[in-house]
Amino acid sequence: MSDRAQVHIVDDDASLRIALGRLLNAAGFDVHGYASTGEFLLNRPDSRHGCLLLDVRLPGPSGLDLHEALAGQGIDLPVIVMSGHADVPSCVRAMKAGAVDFLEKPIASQILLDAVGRALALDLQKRAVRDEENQLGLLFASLSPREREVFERVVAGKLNKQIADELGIAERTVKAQRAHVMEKLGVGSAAELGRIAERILHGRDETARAGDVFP
Amino acid sequence: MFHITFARVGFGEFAFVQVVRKTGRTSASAFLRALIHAVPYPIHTVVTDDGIQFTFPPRYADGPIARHITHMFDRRCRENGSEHRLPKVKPPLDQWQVERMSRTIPEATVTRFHYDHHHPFETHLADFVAACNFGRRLKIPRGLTPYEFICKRWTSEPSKFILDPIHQMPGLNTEGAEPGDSACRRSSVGPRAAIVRIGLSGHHQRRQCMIATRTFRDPIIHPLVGEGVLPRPGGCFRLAGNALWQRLSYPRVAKSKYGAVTLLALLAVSSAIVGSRASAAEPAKRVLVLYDNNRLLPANVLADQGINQAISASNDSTVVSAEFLDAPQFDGAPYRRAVTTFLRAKYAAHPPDVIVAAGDGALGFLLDNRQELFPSVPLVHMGVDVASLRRREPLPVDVVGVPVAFDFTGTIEQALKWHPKASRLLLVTGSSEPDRQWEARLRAGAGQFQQRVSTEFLAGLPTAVVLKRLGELNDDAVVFTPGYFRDGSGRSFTPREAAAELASVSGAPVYGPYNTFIGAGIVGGFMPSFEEIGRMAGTAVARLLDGAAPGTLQLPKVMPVALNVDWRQILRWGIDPDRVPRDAIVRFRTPTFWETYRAEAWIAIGLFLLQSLLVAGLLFERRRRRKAEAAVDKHRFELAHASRLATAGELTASIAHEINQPLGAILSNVSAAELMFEAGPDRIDLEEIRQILGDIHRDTIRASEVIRRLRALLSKHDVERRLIDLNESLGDMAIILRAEAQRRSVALVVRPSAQALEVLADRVQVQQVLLNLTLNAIDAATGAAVERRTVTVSAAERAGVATITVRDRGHGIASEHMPRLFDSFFSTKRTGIGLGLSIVRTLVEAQGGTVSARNEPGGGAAFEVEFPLARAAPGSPGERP
Repeated sequence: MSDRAQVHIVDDDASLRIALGRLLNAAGFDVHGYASTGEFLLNRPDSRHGCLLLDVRLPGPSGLDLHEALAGQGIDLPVIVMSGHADVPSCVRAMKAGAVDFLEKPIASQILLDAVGRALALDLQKRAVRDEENQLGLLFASLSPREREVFERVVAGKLNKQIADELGIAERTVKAQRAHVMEKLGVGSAAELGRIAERILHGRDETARAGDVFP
Repeated sequence: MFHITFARVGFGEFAFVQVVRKTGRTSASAFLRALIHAVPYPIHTVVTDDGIQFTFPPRYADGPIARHITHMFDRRCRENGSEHRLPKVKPPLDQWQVERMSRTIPEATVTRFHYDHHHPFETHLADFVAACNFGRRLKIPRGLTPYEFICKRWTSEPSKFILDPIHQMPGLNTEGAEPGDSACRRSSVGPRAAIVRIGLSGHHQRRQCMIATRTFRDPIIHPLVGEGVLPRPGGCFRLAGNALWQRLSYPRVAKSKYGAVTLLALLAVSSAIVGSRASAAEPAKRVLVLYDNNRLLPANVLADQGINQAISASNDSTVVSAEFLDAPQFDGAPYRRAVTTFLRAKYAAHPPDVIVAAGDGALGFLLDNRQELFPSVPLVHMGVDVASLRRREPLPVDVVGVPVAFDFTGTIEQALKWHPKASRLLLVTGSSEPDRQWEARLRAGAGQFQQRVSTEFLAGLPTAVVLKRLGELNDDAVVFTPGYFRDGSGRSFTPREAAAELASVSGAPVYGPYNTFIGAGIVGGFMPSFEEIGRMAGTAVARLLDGAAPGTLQLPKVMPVALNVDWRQILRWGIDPDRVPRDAIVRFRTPTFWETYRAEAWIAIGLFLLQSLLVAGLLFERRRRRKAEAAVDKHRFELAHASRLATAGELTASIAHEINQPLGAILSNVSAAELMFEAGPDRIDLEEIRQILGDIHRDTIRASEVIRRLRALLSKHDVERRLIDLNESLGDMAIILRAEAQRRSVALVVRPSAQALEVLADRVQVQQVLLNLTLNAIDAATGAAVERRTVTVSAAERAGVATITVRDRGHGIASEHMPRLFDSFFSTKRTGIGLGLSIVRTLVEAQGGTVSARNEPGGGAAFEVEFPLARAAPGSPGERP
C-alpha cells in the first residue's frame, strides 16, 4: 500500500476518528489514527506522501500546539485543522501556523476529501521541490573544489580573466574548468548556471537548517 | 356646729387638740388662749395659715380695715407677747388647689373611723393625741417620747419654763371635765423658744377640714388628718397621715435658733352634726309601739323595720320602744290587766310622746285602757283591718292611722284566672279567735265563687288532717289560706309557718293574702306591704312628734295593695308568665343571664368581635404574605432559570463540540458507506457496513442524549420534588461540563459514592447547583498552575446526610470574602454579576439542604452541599419505588 497517500488523523473522539478513517479509507487513502498529540509524536509517520487531520481540542496539548511544534519536530506534513466549535482566535492561530484548511465539524465528505486532496497536492508539490533540490545538491557535490571556486566566481559575474587572476591560474584552465562545471551541472549557458546557483545556495541553506533529517 | 382643732408641738411631735363648735375668729382666739394656758412656757412666735380666722383676707390688705382694725387673733398674740407669722404661700392657694390637695391625699394613708356619736370620736381623738404625746418614741431626740423630751429640757433649763411640765402628766389631773373640751387638757410642754403654728382651714369652703402633719407616720398611731364632715350615725370621719403641711410650704423654722419645739395647730371644721342635737337642751322624744302578736311574727318584724326607718330618717334621736301583747297565745282580762299595770309602771318615768298600735287587737287594748295608761298621748294605729276599724268607729280625734284592706276575694279571683281548669276551691283556716274572724270573712266572700267552683272549707282541722287532704289534691283545685295561729289540735303557729307547711305538701297551688307568705311556698296574692305599713305609721309618728295636730295629717284612706307573686311558684304551677301583670311585685325571679351579665356579655361580644377582626386581619396579612412569598419564589426560580441560560451560554463552545462530535462521526460514517457503494457492489464489506451502522446508531444516541440533558436543564419547569439519586445528577453534570473542562485544560474528576444517594429534591435545581459550583471551581482552576488544574466533585453519605463536595486547587477564598460569599451581587470575578453562589444557596435551601465553603489545607477551596437523605436507613428494602 506504499503507493497510497497517507492521512493521519489526530482526534480524541474514537468514534469520529474511526468514522473519518473509514471514509478516507474508502476514498483510497492509507489512514492512521491517533487519540492524542502524544500518541502521534510517539508514532511519527514515515516520510511518505501524506497529510495530517488535526482536531483542535485534544486532551493534553491541543491540536494547534502540535501544529506549531511540527516544523520543529522536522515533520513537514500539510495540516488540516478540524474543530467542533470554530472560534476566531483558534482559526487565526491555525492559519498563521500554515494550515491548509480549517474545517468545522461535522465535515461534509466532499469538503473533507477536497481538503485532503489539496493537502496532498501541496505535499506532492513540496515533495517535488524538495526532490529537485536534493538532485541539484548531489550534482553540486560532484564538483571538485577548484571547480566550485570557479563556479562561485562565475555566478558572481566575473570574467574568466579575473577568475584566473584571483585564483592564480591560467585563463585556459579557468575556461576548461568552467566547461566542466557546465557539463557536470548540465547547463548550456552562464545564465542557466546562475539560476541553478541560486537554487543550490537556497537549498544548501535549508539543508543546513534541517541537517539531520536529510544528512 | 362642731369643730376640731389639732395642734402639733415640738418638732411637730406634740399635738394639741381642741374640739370647738364653730370656726371663726372667736374660736381661733379662744383656741390660742387655751394653748397659751396649756403650754408651760412662753410662746414667742405663732405661725398660722392665712385663713380669715387668723388674719384679714388679702383683698382687705390695703383697705381701711387692715389699716385701722387689728384682727382679733393678732390682738391675742400681741397680748401674749408673741409674734404672729403667716405662711408665705405665693400665690395663695386658691380653692381649686386646696381641692386638689385634698384629693391628692392618697387613699392608702387614710383610715376611716365611724362613730355613731361625737363622744366616741372625742375619746378616740384624745387617746390618739395622748398616744402621740406620751407614748410614741421619737427618732430625734433619740428614744424619748415628746413629753419625756420636754421634761428633760425642764431639768436642764428650768428657767425657760413658766411651770413644771411634770404637772401635766396624763392621768386624773389632766382629764378634761367638759365633754366637748376633753382633749384640750392634753396640752403639751416644751422649751421656752417655742413657735406655735396654727392652721385653720376653715376658709376653704367645701372640703373644710384637711389636716396633715408629716411626722405622724408611725403606723401604730393613727395618722392625723381630719377630713370632711363629722359623722351622723353611720357617717365617717377620716384620719390620715399626709404631707399637706409640706405642700403649704410654710417657712421652715431653724432648729438651732428656736430650740427643739415647733407647734402646729390646725383647726378643722365640720358641719351637720347629730351630736349637737343630742346634746341640746330638748330631751329625746319617745315612741311606744305596741304589737298585737308575738315579736317574731314576720309581719311584726317587717312593720318594725318600716317604723324605725321612718322615724330615724326624720329624727334619729327619737327613742322607739316596742311591746308585744303576744295574742292569741295570751289573752283574757287578767292578762290584759297585768299588761296594763306593767306598761304603766314601765313607762312612768319616760312616758311616750306617741303610741303606735300595731294590729286590731293592740288598738282595741289601747283604746280600752287609754285612761289608765297614757290618756292624752296621740295614738297611731297600723295594720288594722278596714272592717274591724269600722266596727270601732267613731275613733277619738287623736287616734289616727291608715287601715289595711286584706283582699281575700281579689286574690282568689286572680288565682281562678290563673287556673281556669280549677273546679275546686279549698279554704284553710284555723281555730283561734282571729282565725275564726278570717273564716267568717272568707265564708262571706266565698259565695261569689260558687257558680264557678265548688268551695270547701277546711276550718279548724288538725294540721295533719289538712296536710293529708291537701296532699291528695291535684291541679284541678286551688287552695287559699290566710294562715292560722292555732290549728284544730291546739298547736300554735304563726300564719306564715302554717302557710309554709300547707304549701309544702299541697298538690294544688296555694294562695294567701299577706306579703309575709311570699317565699313560704305560696304563689302570691293581692297584699299590702307590712314594711310599708310600718313606714306609713312611722311617718305619721314623726309628724306628730314634730308638733303636727293629729287631725291635719291627711293620711291615705287605706293602705294600697299590690299583686305579689313568687316567681318560682309561677313556674312550678305552669302559669303563663305573660299573664302575670306588669305591675305585679315579682319576687325570687332569677335574673336571666342577659339581665345579670349584660355588661359582661357586651364586653365579651366586643372582645369576640375585636378578636375576630384581629384574626381576619391576620389572615388577610397571611394571605398577602403568602402571595408575596409566592411572587418571591417565582422570581427566584425565574432568576435561577436565567442563570441556567447564562451558564448554557458560557458553555456554548463545549456544548457545540459535544454535539458536533457525534454528528461529524455520523456524517463521516455515512459518507464512507456511500463511497463503498459507489466503488461497486463487489467492494462492499458487509461487516464494515454493519459496524458503520452500529456506530451511527451509537453516535445518534450520544448526540440526542446531550441535547436531552441540555433541554432538561434549560427548560422552564415547575419545581417538582421527587426522589433523585445524587450520583445520577453528578453524572449529568459531568457530561455537560466535561467538554468545558477539557477546553479549559482542567481535569474534572467525578467520584460518585458507592451506594445510591437518594434525596427528595428537584432534579434540575440540584443539577444547577452542581453546575454552578463546578463551573466556579473550573474558573478557579483555570487560573492555577497547570499541574494544579484539577476539579474534584465527590459524593458521600455521612450520618443520614448526602454530601457533595466540589474541590479545586486554585487560590482559595480570601478570608475577607468569606462572609459575603453567598450574598447576591458579590463577585470576585471580573465579569461575574455575583448571582451564582447566591442562587446556589437559594436552591439548596429550597431543597432543605445547606451549603458551606471552606479553604482546603493544601490550597484551593471546597464547597460542600448537604442534603438530608430521603430514606431513613441506607439500603432498607422496599424504599425504592
